Amino acid sequence: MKESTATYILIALFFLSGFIIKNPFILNMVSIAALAVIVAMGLNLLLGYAGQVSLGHAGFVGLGAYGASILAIKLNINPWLSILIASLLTSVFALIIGYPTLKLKGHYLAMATLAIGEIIYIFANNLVDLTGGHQGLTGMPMLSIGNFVFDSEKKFFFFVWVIVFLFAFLSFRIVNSHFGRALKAIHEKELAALSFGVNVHLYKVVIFSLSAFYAAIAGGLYAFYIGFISPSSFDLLKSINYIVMVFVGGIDSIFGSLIVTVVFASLPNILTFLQDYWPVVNGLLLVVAAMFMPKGLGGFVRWKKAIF
Amino acid sequence: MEKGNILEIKNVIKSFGGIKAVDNVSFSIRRRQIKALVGPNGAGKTTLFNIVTGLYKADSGEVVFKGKDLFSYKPYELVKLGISRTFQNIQLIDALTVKENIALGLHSKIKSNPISVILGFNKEREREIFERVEKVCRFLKIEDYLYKFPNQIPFGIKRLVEIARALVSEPELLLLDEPAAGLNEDETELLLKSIFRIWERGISILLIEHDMEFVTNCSHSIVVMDSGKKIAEGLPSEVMNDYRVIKAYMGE
Repeated sequence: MKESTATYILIALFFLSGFIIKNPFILNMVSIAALAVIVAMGLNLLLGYAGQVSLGHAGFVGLGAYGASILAIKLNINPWLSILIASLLTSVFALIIGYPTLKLKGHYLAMATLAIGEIIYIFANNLVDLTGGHQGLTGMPMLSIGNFVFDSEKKFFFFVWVIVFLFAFLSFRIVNSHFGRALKAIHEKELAALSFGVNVHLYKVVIFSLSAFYAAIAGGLYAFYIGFISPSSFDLLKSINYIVMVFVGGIDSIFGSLIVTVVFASLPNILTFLQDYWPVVNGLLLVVAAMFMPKGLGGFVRWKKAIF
Repeated sequence: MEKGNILEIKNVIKSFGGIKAVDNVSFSIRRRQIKALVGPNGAGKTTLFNIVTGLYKADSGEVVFKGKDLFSYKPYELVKLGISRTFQNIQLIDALTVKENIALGLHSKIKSNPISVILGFNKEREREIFERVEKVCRFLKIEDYLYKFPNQIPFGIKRLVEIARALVSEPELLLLDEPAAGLNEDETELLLKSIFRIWERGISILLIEHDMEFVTNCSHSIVVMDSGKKIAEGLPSEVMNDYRVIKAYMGE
């Protein structure tokens, strides 16, 4: 089965599970996991396909969340429009930031993106008039379409899986085009890719910006769904979490990102007794994944298929 | 630029630290010529290749392709100009099939915007691309491997896939960096035939090689480099008997 088909089927199953699951706690948990899936899919384009690391992706989620909230609260702009504007602005910001940063490689790129994430975090903490500082920001209006208001966990659950589907569709379209082939070439053989005729730097910047767009959309939706945001939702640990999700799910496997992200984002809520040790569990999982399935779940499945 | 020349390399100098990797080298390639660049390891052949293809910046000198100064172009613009190359260390992308690898060679010739990719309007384009890929594969007789991944095919075929990727954009000048390295006798034979068939299509070829026998079999003209300098140029028969060339290869 093609990876795209498997992914669409899985998304459909998640969507349909909304008819069975009654517990609002679980619906809420899976909805938030679905938002993380969007971020992970965007990060996968950058990290998994183009091979460029970003340790600041939570920052872009934050920009989307704060941007959309501030636009809606202070300027009274329609929530949907706020999310769209904030996300577009975030990707323009990523474009500007990415232009110089993506000339760096490996560790240097990691440090630079880490700094970007931290700077956004510091701004969110200190621009108290705009962001409410560490106390957070609240008062976002509910998302609605006409008279239909997304005022229950269930309604948002169905909606968010439709959005996940749209972004998965977008990802597969990109990955299976000449654009995706160029990204894979950049990942493996950057210098050679130049000689094939790939404008390597341009592609890196564009995919960086696009993956920031994914992140910002997820951030915007999160803000309006929860109705409260604070800087701690967008700190370095979150950025690392996203990387763990992409790595464990499988570099260049959108399907893997989807499964692993849902599991990862949900686990802390299920294994509540481990709450304080979550970073440790996260780290252990990353080590185990790196040792036993270095290409992640997606790579592991493909490898098994090749054998049997 | 002299009439009949497709590429002129003029007084190119490149140093790495204190070492002159390429020391004032000049030569030219005529249209429809197979020119070989030979010399012992470390002679600066690949460095010169990388300068021509823009991966390294020369300290001074000039490279002119069809009257255009190549140093004013970015490396990824060369395919569009009509120059493509292969690599000494095979540079196939493991995550892509042979077919997709070859399609990469057409990358800069694809005119399609992101919107058409997202909406799926690029299908027609993609089909055209893969038709051209299949044509090249039939030409090089590697069509059986189209759907294989690089780690599933023999070494000799990998070389041909690299050449196919360079060829798919229909270049006017093809640069081959040690195409025969690591090939067995049969594979070398097949490669030789392929090179002639490429030449028959009117493509000029510059190839690096240090196997003298291979070079004398397939080139019209040879440039010999040693320690960064050009030490001889001429017909294969002339160059083979040149004292300096023998010295460079055999020692004093």
